[in-house]
Amino acid sequence: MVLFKIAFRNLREHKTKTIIIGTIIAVGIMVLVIGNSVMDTASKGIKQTFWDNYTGHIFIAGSKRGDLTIFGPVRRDSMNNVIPKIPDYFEVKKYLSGLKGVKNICPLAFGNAIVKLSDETGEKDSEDVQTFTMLFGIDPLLYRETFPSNMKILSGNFIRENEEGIMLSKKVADYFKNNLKREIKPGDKLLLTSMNDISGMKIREVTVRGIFEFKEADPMLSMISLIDIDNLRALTGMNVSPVRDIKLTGSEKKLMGNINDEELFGETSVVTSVVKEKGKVSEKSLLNILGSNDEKTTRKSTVDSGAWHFILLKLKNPSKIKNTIAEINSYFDSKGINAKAYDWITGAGMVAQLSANMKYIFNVIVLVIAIVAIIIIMNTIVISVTERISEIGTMRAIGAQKSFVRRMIIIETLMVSLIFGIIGIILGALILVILGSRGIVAPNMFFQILFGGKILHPVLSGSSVVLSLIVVTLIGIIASLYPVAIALRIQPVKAMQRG
Amino acid sequence: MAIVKLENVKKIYPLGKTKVVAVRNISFEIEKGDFISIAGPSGSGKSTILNLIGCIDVPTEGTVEILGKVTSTLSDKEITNLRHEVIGFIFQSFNLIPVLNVYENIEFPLLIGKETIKGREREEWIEFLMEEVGLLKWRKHKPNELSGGQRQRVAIARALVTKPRIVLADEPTANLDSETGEAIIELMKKMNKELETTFIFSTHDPTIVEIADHVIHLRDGQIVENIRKGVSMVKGNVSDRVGGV
Repeated sequence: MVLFKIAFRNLREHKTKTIIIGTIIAVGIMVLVIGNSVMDTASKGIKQTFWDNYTGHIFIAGSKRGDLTIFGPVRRDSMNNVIPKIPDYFEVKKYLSGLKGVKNICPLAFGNAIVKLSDETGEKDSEDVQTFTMLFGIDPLLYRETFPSNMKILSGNFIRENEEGIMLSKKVADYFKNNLKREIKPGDKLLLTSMNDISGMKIREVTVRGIFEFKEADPMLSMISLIDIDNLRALTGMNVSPVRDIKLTGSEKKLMGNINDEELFGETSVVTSVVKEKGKVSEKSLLNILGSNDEKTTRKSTVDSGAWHFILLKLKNPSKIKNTIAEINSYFDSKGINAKAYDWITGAGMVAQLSANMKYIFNVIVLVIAIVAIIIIMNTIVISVTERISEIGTMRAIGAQKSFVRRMIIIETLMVSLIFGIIGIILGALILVILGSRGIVAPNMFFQILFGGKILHPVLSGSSVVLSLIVVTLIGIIASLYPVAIALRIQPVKAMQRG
Repeated sequence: MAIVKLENVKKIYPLGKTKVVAVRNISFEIEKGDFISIAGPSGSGKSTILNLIGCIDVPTEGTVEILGKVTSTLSDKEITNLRHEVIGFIFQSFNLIPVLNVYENIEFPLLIGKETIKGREREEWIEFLMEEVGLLKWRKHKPNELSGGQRQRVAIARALVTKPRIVLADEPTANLDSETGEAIIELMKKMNKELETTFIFSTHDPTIVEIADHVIHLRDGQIVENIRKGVSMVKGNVSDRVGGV
């Protein structure tokens, strides 16, 4: 008790020193609390958003490499460009359906395409207007079941079961609106052109079924359009279905020019070159241009070929994510299936990882600031100790053990750290209340990705408070180590020195 | 039995590359209840001897025994306990803890070691001491609100609070005017009589020396005179004869 009394009164007595140390601590802790709370809110938001809307809780890929996301491979080099399919899809799906705790199973495939308005629409200027979209190939029914409220349909309807078509991203639709001077409407035909390492260039004509935007989209997600899986398979060359007769659309016929079947299929060849010229199509390019052998304008086949890139799982209880992943992976291992279950962060890719990395980077910066603060505080306490040599010597002379002196210095430093640390936490919490009610507007795309949206309403996170308390305690203890060492060297005889 | 015994004590301090002999050939004994003055001019070794008796320094040669314990053989913890339980200190510069008030300064030694006096008994004891030194009215005052004499009274009460067998006072009147100084020595003598505590104080003030029952005169680090009032007086370098006088 006497130690607390001495510590408190010493801090009060040496106001300037206490305020200098206290301000450093309070400001540092305030920044720590605000920064971590903002990032916690952002990552919590990103996590919930991705769970509910984009990745579910578990992401299964047909590879053990760990570099795949729902947006394709993390690195876009030639080796990683091909996204492997889930092997033994039906067997895997059957196993997952029987798994306790699984709420939804949503297969997914990913692709990219250049979009332009089909010539059949009669738009004269449409030739030159084209843009890029990322594509999620989906089973409409399973997708809506898994993510029932992740989007706002701005026009048209969601793709119906066994219907071909594309749900066009608002961003892509806006591009056409701005450059074509006409809105894209449901029923319009789009030409999608895709390139990939397996089958070169593929072109498909797809009907627009609706225009939508994801409710909480970041810049990456706003580039996503949803397409029926058959069209995506055709575009990405992942078909496994048997060869059937094809009926070409007008624009495809126009593109191909006057080529008869004999010329076309006289001999088979593997082709990867890109066709640029219309009407003068070489034999080699035709297979690519045709894309799928599947019938496509009206999707007759209701049989799933089983070619999917990913499976997304939603669980009844998200706290079981880790255990379920382990269970699924041990199943894959036991069956020798080359697939792996990952947590949602892997599936979410850059966005979630950026959020986690930013927190890491921020805390490294805070650590550096903390070290500087420790040095400043340590120096101030060292000065304080040297000013109190006679007092400490007196205490030792009249019977205080070294442990008493040690406790006295540590309590004093801890007291100032904790008092001002708590002030810092309170200030941080107050600022967060203001920021939470007003919202932080992301100034650029980077922050939009980081925030998981355009505006972030941060709330005080419990973990940031706990972290701050741990940090101030550590600052207090570490900053007192050297002053304690000095204080312990003070001999009782110092009390006798004339002062 | 002597409660303090110094035998052939020599203390050398390093001073840069040279060594300074602070005291040598020091031998004497102090009995229980003595009121003894270590007198001598500046640099004669008074403080060194008080430091050795106060267990805040150890001799280079010879032995210092406090209640039969040879101080140089004790660990830091044991020696700290010995200081806490057996010895009270009064310093020339008072050395009060600036952030504690009169009552708290007096109470302080009771709070830093083994709790010997508790609760109400402790409170009554501190109040008794404050009354004895005449500071009852000043109990809530901080040291910087007191005069030099008052501060030294607080120091005396603090030195006595643990009921020590020995109180060491290093030039307790040096920072006081002569009247206050004499009053302080009178107070120490009063406490010496009432509590039967042995008081050992150093001074170079001849007026104050006269109040002591037992005076040890030092010069150049050696005893030149060891006088016990009303018993006998020995002059010269009496280091081989002290203790039995």
